[in-house]
Amino acid sequence: MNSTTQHVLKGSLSVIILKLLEDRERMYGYEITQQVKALTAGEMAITEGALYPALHKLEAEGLLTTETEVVDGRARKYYSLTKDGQQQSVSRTSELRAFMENLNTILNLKPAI
Amino acid sequence: MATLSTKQLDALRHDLRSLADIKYVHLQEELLDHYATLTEANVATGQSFYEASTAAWLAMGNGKGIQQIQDDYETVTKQQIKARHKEIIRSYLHWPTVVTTLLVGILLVCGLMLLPMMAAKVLVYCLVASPTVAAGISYYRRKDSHQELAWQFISQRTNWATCLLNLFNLFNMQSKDGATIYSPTQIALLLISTGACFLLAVSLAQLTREHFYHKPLFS
Repeated sequence: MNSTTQHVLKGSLSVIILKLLEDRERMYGYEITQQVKALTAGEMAITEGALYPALHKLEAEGLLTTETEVVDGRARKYYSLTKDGQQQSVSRTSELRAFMENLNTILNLKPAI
Repeated sequence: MATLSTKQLDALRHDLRSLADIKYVHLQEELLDHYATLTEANVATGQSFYEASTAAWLAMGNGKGIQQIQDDYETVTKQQIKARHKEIIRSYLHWPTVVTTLLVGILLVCGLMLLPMMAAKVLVYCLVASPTVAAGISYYRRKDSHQELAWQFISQRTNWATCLLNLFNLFNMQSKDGATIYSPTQIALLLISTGACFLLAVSLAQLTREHFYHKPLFS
């Protein structure tokens, strides 16, 4: 993954998390990293160093709620969207989509002759 | 996918504690699950436990990378506690609370005038020291890592009250017969400060009742 992709990914990580949790009811950290990898055919990879701070921040903002279950002898923390998180997911996704469209327009500019 | 044994999980937990210095229980459990799942995935490809866990450790960012997660976790939790404390203080700034506090303040002044100097001083010092009592309660209530961070925050805020107490001692003036004299400005400042300390104590006591883990703060 090149540095441009990494920068874009870092900036849109919270939207990615919110969107994934909107589609699935609840997910745990490792599952999120694998889902991103699978959806992008390995083109994008979220590092643990970026994922967990983003999850903790969204939880502190009240957009995510957590529940812990014991799986295979260890505690597994599942994240899911709160009501506020669901609203934020919709608004942040449309904001990012609008930004991507604008970016696309700029990138497709033909050089003036 | 292969499931790790209790001994293997203990070995991974030990790595997190000793190599990355992960001291918060909730974070440690969350990272352990990630570390273990990653290791299990590697074991499923035919690697030995040692090779699989080493590869998982490196993929998670090694000791320094994992420590950084803890640093970020601390920052987010501290911000959360600070924001909640501000919210509590702001909730006091509504007219019923302000008017009640003022009335209690006036009542206190009247009471202080009737008391001997030493008793009045003791009462004022008790009010100024009340945030320390709130910190004491918080110390005994800290049950997990998040409460540990809340206690750190509360003990820092308690220092404000201690500073005020020292300021009072600095501005004390003694008359020839040894009695303490305060100017009207000092008395006004003293009253405002003791009132502020009392409100701070109440807000800190309220903060000790919060739990900074399961409950999102701003929902």
